[in-house]
Amino acid sequence: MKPWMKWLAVVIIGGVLVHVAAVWALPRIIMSVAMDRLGGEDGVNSFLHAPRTTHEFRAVVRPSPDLNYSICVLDLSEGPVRVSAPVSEPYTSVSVFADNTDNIFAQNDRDAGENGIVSVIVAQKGQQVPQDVAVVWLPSDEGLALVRRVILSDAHNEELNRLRKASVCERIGG
Amino acid sequence: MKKLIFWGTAVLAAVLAGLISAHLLLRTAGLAGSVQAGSWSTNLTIGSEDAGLYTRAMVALYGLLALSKDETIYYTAQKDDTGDPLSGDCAYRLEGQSLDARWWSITAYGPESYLMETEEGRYSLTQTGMTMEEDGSFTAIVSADPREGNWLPVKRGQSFDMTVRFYNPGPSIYEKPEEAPLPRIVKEGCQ
Repeated sequence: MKPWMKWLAVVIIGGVLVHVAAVWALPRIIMSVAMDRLGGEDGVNSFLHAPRTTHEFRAVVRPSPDLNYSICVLDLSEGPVRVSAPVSEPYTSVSVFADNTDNIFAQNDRDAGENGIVSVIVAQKGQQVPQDVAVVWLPSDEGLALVRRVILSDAHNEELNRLRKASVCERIGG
Repeated sequence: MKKLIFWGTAVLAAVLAGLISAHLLLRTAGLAGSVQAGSWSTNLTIGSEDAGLYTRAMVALYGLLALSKDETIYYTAQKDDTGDPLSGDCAYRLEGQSLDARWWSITAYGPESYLMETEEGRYSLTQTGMTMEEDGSFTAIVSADPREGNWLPVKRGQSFDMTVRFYNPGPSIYEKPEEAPLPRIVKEGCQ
């Protein structure tokens, strides 16, 4: 093989590998940055309740201006985390995301118990979890829980701001 | 030294080729998906564990924290019904009917996928905020200039796109997502 052919082969094969690695890594990097931006120091295993979204919000692309958001960055390194949130009409969802952006769990107000709360334990394989509780298994020790509540008006948003204070994101036994 | 330059340039060229090709592919592809319904398109693997390498990367760039289709389906339009890119220098008429979902909204985003700064602080049209006819049909205007009635402001001089969110879509959307009755995007004129 001539030297220039070797050079070209390295560029082509290496280029494909770098391309695939970059596309694979991108969601994980962006998710990591978003978790840092959203969680900060106080938002790990604890809900942060975001103000209503406007054009000034830049932490995550394509936010909905019609949703009242509560966010909890999950750190399962010291054990499972309980996530629960009271729901409201006309729509509420409680969702969990893995660190590669996959939405691995979502329930909405129709799934809430008689107490009007959606509740789930987020854990990693191998961790002890309480019996008789819905469990979602996270593939890594980091992820994110997000509660979306539809806002009907400014007054309704104030009600949601009061309601969401009852949301819980906490390490079990923590 | 010659060998070092030889292999060094090859590795450098490989890294650049890999990064530039990934950047170009992801920047130009957007969230456009395999399902087309009029001017709107969706990708039903968004947010799911079935999402491929590229879909996952595009979700991270253009729709981070998107829910999977079991909960919400997102359609995005970057062009009007004639195929021209949406521009804040033009006015558009949305002609549609109430969408088959528990709750839905239509939101406009600027070129970087963020909400656009408008004087009105209004960013979307919603199922519960719009005025609709008795038969469930609606007309709305998307423009930089204020309009009476259902109006979605956008920013003059900027390109934009629109996303429809179907929260808990009805069965018809799952059965035939390419026939979802999404609003027509009719250009009224440009300045």
